[in-house]
Amino acid sequence: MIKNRIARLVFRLVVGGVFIWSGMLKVLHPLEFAQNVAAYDLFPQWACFLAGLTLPWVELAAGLLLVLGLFRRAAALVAAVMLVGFIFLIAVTMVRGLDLSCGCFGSLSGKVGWTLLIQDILLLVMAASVLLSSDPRLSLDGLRSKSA
Amino acid sequence: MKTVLKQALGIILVPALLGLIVNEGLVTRFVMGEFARGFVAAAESGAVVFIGFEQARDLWQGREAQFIDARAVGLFAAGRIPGAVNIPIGEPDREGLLGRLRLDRSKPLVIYCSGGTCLDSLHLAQWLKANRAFDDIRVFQGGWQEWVDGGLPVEAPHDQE
Repeated sequence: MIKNRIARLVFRLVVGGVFIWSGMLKVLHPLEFAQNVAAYDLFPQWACFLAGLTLPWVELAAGLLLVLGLFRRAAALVAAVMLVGFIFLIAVTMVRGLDLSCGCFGSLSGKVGWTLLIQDILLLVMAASVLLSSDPRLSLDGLRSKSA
Repeated sequence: MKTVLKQALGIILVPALLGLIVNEGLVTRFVMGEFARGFVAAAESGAVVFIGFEQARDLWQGREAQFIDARAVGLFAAGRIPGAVNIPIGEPDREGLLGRLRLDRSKPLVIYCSGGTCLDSLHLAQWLKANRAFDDIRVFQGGWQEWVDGGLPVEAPHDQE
């Protein structure tokens, strides 16, 4: 997809950084995030609760691994799957015409709209580039494979 | 790719499990049925009571409560629950405004904002609870959005002229 390894490093750091930031804000306030998920009015209460308690931790872990470059392709896959989910949610919310806060960054969340949709699509492209590349240079995976 | 999938599964399951362990207390409270009406309510409400659409409707139809709109002046002016008064959360002289409104302290207050994830009604309720002698403060979580979606009457600007 993207052949330049510096570009891929930047992508990893950007996606990882966003996921760490977003995950941290939500890990600290799981019920607030659960309430944000519930506001989409698409999921049962138990699913919102489960998402509130678990998703931020998955986000945080995927973000940390991306930044470190450890299990980077798996972390990119997790990030990409989550981003596809977020994009779907944003699109559905826009089609329904709801005026909602996305809940992506805790109390700093912006409204669901085109800006957020484009932002998530860009992040998805970056995550996909990391996922599709098997070149481990500039990552801890690279060091691991050298020492193995 | 199979290895990547296995690792990805681990990246999902291990942190998810960690999240459940760290929040074990919340899980217990959920199992006991505490969050049936909402999550933020239980997390931040203190002594504020949260009500749903039907309760808000019944209180309004029975004229049993005073409705307070916590949204900005412009939104309130564009449309509101009939009979509601406006105390915008951003009002700098909230004390003065509250004094001028001369609310009936014997009736419950029902506070609402836009609905969804809007927290203005909760913040106003907490402020009223902390600063004023209102015994019965309720927050209508569905707020304006749920009221309109439910097809209940609304008051537009010209209704008061």
